[in-house]
Amino acid sequence: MINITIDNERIKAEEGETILEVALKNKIYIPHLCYYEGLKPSGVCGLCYVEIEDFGVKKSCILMVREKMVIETETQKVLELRREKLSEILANHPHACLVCSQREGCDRISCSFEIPKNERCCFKFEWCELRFVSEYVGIRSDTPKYEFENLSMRKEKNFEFNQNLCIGCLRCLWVSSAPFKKISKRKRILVELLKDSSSLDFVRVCPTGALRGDVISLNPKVFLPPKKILELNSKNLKEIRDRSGVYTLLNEKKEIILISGTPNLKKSLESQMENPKASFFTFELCEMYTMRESELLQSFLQKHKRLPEGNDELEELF
Amino acid sequence: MKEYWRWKEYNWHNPEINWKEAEIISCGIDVGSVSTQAVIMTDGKLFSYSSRRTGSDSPDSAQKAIDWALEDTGMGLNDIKYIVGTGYGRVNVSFATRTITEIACHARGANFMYGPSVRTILDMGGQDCKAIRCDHRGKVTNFLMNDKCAAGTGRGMEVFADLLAVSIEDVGEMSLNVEEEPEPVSSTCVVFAKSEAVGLLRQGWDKNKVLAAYCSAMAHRVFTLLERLGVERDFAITGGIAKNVGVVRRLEDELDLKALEPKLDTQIAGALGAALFAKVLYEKEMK
Repeated sequence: MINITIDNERIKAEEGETILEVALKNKIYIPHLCYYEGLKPSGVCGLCYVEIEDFGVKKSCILMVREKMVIETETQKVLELRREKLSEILANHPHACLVCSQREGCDRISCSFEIPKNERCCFKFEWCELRFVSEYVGIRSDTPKYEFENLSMRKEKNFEFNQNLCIGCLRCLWVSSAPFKKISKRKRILVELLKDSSSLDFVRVCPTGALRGDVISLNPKVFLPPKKILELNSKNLKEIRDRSGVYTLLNEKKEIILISGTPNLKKSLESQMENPKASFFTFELCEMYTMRESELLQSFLQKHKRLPEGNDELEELF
Repeated sequence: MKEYWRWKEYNWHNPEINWKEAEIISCGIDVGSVSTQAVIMTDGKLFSYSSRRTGSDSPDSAQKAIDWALEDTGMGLNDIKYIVGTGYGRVNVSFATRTITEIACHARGANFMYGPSVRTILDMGGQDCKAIRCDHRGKVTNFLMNDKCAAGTGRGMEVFADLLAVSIEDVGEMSLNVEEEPEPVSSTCVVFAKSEAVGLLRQGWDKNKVLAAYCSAMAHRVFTLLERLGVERDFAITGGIAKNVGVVRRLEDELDLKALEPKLDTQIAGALGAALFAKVLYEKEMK
């Protein structure tokens, strides 16, 4: 057993574990894209930096834990470095939709800003790991514009590979244990190596839309950035102001049970205190809350193929 | 100066219904971004409706719409048992008992208007478009909206009518009156399309041709939305643009599918659905 401290929390770890593994195991989220549970760390994405006493800023996916290590996951230095690294990744990956003010609820078919199709986000938008991580890390406003390079696209029997969307995280290669021969200049993967693979696991681990196969929802093994979910209690409601916006109610399993727009978040949430099913909530301020509500419902519908149960109460009216 | 975009506001009531004999009088009010409708139903039958432009003051627009639907009927606001507000401004209907999203109301309204065979509804509103799938009862099973932009919506059409000095009611017919179908304008964005249209007029295109180019761009835009959602028969269109044959025909051509012929005013679908919900809600409350 090794004793370490992460964000002031004392944690016991096993010898040979990396800092990232220990943190995730203990529900401390550190952003990452190339790391995937059970795979060799490659350290290419550079998002998992942490600051360690006496060691400085290091990649947590590579560094093993040592006795009495004191680790901070969100120092100013670390946050800035992560953003810088993300900016390098996004410079070579379409990201116009990620920073668009109208991204929620957009059909991404016709774009009001006339962004060329190749620079828009792909089919995976609603459940894209890269997107969730980017939103968590924060996209720098000086992120270089993505230029479409028309890299190779291949269609195999049971999967497709679009090199334009590849960020070179190498997860697919690790998981398929394909012979590691060819990696092009910018560490982009040549999928020729993979086409004999019988299992589609290498498709499922892709954090972007570069590999597309049979899956249409998020891989449950992926660690996602936490959302600011608050417990529905009077203490938390004190912080909410009398403003318009949209709130989401969650049950005790943290499943969404209602999405609702309201002119007064405080009042509406207070009245939901009596809802026996509601345990947690999230909220966002928004002037156009009725429209925002529809957008969030649309996203939910696309993801779950049904409405949240609280929004489905109309059933009794038919 | 004539304002060509100004569509006519209207109200209607069925003189054959004696509302005093009705058990349940229910009402739906749909406060949209461009227009507001009120529908009053007596025991589930359409009794009266009104349609007005939404002013800068939404609560006031809701009041005016219902006042107008009540006009000359002898009915008063107090005779109405239950009012449901819907539309993006639904919370501004201060006298509503409850609010329901416009998506649910449009599907319910279309079900009443076109019958239970409707499975896909395209609501082309003032500032957005929604493609809705529903079951035989008019309950929403899936939907998709366009982004927040007004491109290719009713408001865009108003701007075009004004630019070309064509009454908005005539836009559709005129756009069909072309010898050859022109290329669609390259953008449905109101601002870009407007400057493109000015350019085309300067090149010597006549008004009909420019309108055809715009209507077909608009039809294509909603076509992509419908394509993504998947169209199941029967297909119906609601909202103001459903009255524009120029857009409807072109969309039908692209879909290779006829939209159902509307039997009622397509603009009242949302308010109609709300009024139908209001009736059921009242009945439940009385139990």
